Amino acid sequence: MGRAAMTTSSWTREDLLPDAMPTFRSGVLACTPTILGYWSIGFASGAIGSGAGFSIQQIALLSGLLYAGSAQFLIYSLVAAGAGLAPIVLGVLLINMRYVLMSSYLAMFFGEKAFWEKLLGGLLLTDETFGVASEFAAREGGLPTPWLFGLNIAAYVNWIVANIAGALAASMFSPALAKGLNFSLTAMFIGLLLLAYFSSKHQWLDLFAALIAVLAVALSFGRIDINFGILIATLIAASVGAALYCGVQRFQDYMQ
Amino acid sequence: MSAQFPLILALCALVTISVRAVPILFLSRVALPSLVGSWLRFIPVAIMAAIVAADLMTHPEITPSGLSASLIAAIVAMAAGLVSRSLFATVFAGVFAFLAVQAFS
Repeated sequence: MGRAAMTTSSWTREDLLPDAMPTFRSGVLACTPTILGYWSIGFASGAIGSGAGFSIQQIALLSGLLYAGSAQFLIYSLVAAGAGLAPIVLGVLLINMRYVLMSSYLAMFFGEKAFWEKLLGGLLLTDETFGVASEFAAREGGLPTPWLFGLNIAAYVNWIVANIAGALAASMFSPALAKGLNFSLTAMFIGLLLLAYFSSKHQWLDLFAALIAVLAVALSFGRIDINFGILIATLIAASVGAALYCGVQRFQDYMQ
Repeated sequence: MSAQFPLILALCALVTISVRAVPILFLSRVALPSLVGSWLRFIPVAIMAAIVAADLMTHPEITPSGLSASLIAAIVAMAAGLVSRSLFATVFAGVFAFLAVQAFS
């Protein structure tokens, strides 16, 4: 649709936000490295839900309203095991606690935004969109709303469609290929870590914090639930990083 | 199960929505102390490193020859990312290495 076609109305949404569409599109493009992973995990999640006795409608509702792979897996397995309401809700809370940290970090980029922008930005937060958005925000110094919506809507639509497709066609993928596609999310986080490292102003501190997090997860593995381990490891690594950062600042102030 | 499903769905959705949206809604206009700010600055790197470590620990995908396909593919992905500085190249190199290790060992 050309701009000339719109001159009949006094103003359009595009006049208010002249860069909205290209920015939205670049947000959609920023989502593409995650899509392989969304499809493999969403497909598996839908297939498992179907195998656990959930209907297509229930799987679609869970993926649309929960929009959280690990929480959906948890519900399928706990319901299949006959668990009650309280352990299921508590489990979902614990498994999703890491979003508190991600949301708190992203909050600093939402100061000037309207209530609905904050609400939607929060509702559509996932591990993958957080990785992409935090890297973009650290590099560009902000999160334009159309860009964030492009990223979030692309991820959301792919997630729901993949879940439904998985529920409809439970065993079409070969297990080896499914695992390979699954690994694409691990590889994506490795790539995002490297990008964060390249653009960091305190590379050795970031490297140290990452190593602490890896070490803490490795030490907690097999002792506590892995999702809880991720949470604890993040808290420890960020605390050590912040303490060292403040220590270095003090030392530099002292030397001057 | 189907009788309880609406309640499970509603409560789990409420919990998930709260942990995602409440911090953005309430912290975005708060001026945080600089110590908290520098603590939050380390959250992305810490959480992503923890997720990678957890993925490698929970899904090592040990091959018949006793190697972890995930760990080898992670090293290949990291090398590709260091050289290319591209997210796409990192993901493709990692998945390719993963499938190759599983196919040839």
